[in-house]
Amino acid sequence: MENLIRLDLILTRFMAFFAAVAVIGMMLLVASDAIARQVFSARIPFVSVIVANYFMVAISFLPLALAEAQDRHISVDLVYGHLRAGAQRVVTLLIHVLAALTSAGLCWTMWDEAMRRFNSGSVAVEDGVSMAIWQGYFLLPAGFGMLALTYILRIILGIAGADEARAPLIVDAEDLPSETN
Amino acid sequence: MTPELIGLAGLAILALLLLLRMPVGLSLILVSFSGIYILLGARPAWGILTSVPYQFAAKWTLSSVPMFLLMGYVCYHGGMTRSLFAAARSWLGALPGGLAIASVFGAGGFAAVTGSSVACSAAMGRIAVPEMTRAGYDPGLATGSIAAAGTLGALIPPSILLILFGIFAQVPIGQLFLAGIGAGVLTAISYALMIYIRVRINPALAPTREEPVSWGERFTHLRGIWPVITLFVVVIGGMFAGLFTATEAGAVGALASCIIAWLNGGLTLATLRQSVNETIVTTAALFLIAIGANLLTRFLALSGSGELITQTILAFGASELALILGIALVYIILGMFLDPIGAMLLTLPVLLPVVDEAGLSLIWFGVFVAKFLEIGMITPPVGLNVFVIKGVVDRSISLGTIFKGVIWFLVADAVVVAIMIAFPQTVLWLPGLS
Amino acid sequence: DTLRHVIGAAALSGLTDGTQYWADYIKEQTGGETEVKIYAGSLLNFAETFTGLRDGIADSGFVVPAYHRAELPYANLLSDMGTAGVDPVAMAGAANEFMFNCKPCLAEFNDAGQIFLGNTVTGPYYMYNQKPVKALEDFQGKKIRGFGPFARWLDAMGGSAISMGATDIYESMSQGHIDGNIHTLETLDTLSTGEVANYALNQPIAVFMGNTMFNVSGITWGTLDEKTKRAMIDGAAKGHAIATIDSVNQATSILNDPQAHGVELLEPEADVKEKAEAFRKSDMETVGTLNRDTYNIADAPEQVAAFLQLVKKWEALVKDIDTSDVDAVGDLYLKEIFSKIDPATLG
Ligand code: NA
Ligand code: NA
Repeated sequence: MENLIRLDLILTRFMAFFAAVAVIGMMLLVASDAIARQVFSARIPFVSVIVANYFMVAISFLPLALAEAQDRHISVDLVYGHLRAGAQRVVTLLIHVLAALTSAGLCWTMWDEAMRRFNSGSVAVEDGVSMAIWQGYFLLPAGFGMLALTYILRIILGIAGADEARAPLIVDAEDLPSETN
Repeated sequence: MTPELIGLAGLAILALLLLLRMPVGLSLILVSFSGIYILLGARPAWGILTSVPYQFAAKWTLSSVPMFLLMGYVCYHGGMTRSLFAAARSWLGALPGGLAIASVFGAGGFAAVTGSSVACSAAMGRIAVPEMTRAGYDPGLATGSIAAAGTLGALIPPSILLILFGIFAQVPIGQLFLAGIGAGVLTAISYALMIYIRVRINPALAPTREEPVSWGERFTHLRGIWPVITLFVVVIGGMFAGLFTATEAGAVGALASCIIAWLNGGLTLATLRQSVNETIVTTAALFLIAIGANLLTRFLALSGSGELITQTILAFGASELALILGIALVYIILGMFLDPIGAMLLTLPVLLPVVDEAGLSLIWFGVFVAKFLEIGMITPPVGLNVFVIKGVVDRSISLGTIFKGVIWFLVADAVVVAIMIAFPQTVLWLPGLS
Repeated sequence: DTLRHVIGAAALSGLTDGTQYWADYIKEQTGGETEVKIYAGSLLNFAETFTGLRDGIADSGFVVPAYHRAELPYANLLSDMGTAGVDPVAMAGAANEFMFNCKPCLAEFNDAGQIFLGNTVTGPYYMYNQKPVKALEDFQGKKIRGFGPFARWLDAMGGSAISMGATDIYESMSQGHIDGNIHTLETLDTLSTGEVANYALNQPIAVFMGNTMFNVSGITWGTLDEKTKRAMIDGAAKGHAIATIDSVNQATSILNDPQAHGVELLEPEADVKEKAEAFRKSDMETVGTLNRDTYNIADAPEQVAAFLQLVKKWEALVKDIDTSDVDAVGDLYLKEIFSKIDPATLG
């Protein structure tokens, strides 16, 4: 079990790393473009294409599994908290199965779309110049696939009766605002 | 089963999944996909599921969301937003419920550098909620006031919602921005008054009263907020001086916040890593919900139940007031489930002609719609601002507690809306000057 | 049956009126058996409509080929030829005759899972700016939004072209990010750019031939009876006429009273007129080589030549009718093009 969790987290962090690079890259690229325009009256080509089709896609989908591992996907606990422990375990298993199916379905159909875009060679055009954008489509199946794997891991943990099935897989102590003072 | 009934049944199943603690984003996606599958069959359902996530996320204009989030997190970790709050606290803290009042005005200040209410609640929530909790404030009051004050982010300019409304309804965005200031200030004042009155009646809500602070100290605190003022001048000043666009302002603001925090000694590799981690996780979690809400909008459009709800309510609207109240009811119901942009897209095609016919000012109507969409951000079961607060505060505070804390702010919102209806010039005064 | 027709945005004035006519015509011709419900801005946006039709999310819809250059090279070749004439009514006739007699043009839509039912032409496009631009030297250092033929025109004039979505124009102009925009004049009102622009140049630049308003999903097409297909094809004739003429009327009324729309009308200096004329003469050749070399349409120069012939033909055809009369124009489109289309050849 321990090894399974560790493997899942290595993959999860690996993907999130690219999203982190995209955030920093987007900040630097967009700010440089704005500054270059004012100071040198020059523009960096394809800024909005790169931001929309690479950076935004990476930031939106690659960290999905990290959010699940840190238990940061938003859910409603109005009723759940009042269930008995046994019922909680069954409900959790059911929800994890639904979540795994949903994210696996998303992964599958996004992979299909990515292959279609790859084959048609989707491009964006700016000032008469084309730039390939099909690469970004592969980030969606990657992000949703990793999310599905994480839910499958949670199902396995749940069947095995491990507490980690419902707990954050990454406990980020410094993350709690109450501890930052 | 008629398509409309399938739509309503979908909403019921959605509520059930949410109560069983299925993540909000995936619940919305699953229900919308299944509903469209039942209505139209496999291929359209898979087709729409495939196209929406990429189309939603791959947008240049949306890039300001993670950038303003990053700016907020860097400000937070760099201690800047804290100084803003500290200054508001030194001026207002001694009032009953002073910390909550200070957070409302702190959020109002932050609203002037962010276009989204989600970013505004996130930034203020991380600072003010722990302070209020430490001072023994009722958790509902502490979290509710930030969730509600966050809505100022979309009323006080810049505002992504008002930009979208302006484009959609063909109304000048500059005028909408000026009108938004009226609604934002009105909202901030009414929240502050409501907190004051509640705490006067029940002091146990905010047991710790802060010692009055000397005038000298107050001005010292004002000097301590220079980083925030600098950032404000860079972001807002740069935007209005035409140095960069509202979309670019996010990235420039994030970079400026990094530089200022670094000069201030507040930026280390650890805090930067932390800020980036929080930015990507929050963005992915929020966009997943927004994508789900976007899919739900299409499911409701296809089933006709969104229109059914709208038409049913408009059927009551014989007089102008009845029309306005009917529209308000439409947005309250839609706002419970949909994201603001989704709700706007679903309703404006039906409502705009009706509003135009009735001779109402579209500028006033734009702010009115924004106000209601923002109310929807804090109403259960889908209340994005509340979810954001839940995401940034201590785990022991439940969603139910935050939603309960928001109720009184909804009362204050009702007063604001009544004033906006009775005295439209509260909103239209500023645009009228230009 | 009720069919779902999508438009990516609400409130597109003339374009929406043309679509409404099309929907009403289909209902009338089928004796109420087929109804078309219009979803404007709520079901699919412009970029999504392309795949939405392929997947049957909508039965028909408004596709903008400019978003899909890789998939729709011929439709984009057509859009590139906007400099071939300035009268949208004649150009719409030429554009539709061109497309319906071009096998690869129809095939590229079929490959994308849809049936092409014609093009609406809007314009002509004019340039409007914050500062007065009426002589060649005024173009120096100006950044103006324009794509395709309009970008090439700007380049010829010595300005620089910037491409951005329509929704970003107002903000970018008000903040001085761009100095001007090349668009239909009605956008002074519909995009509120009249507030931030001060001058419009009275020089028609080119028309826009990239509004494929009535594309039908291939899945739906296969299920329709002959009567409905006929109604869809014939109804498109007047639908295009209504939308095209509305665009012309809007431009005329704005040129007659520019102040009411926030701009002063400037007459171009002689050097601008000359340069514009020279550009117009040479641009079609540029289009031919550009589409051959960059977008892999081997016979692009021949296609361009064929289109120029059609423009001549249609400029002559519309001389005999009142081009502001939607019935007359619709009938002409129907007689010359749409009534001759055999539904069996479309999909
Ligand atoms: Na704001
Ligand atoms: Na809500």
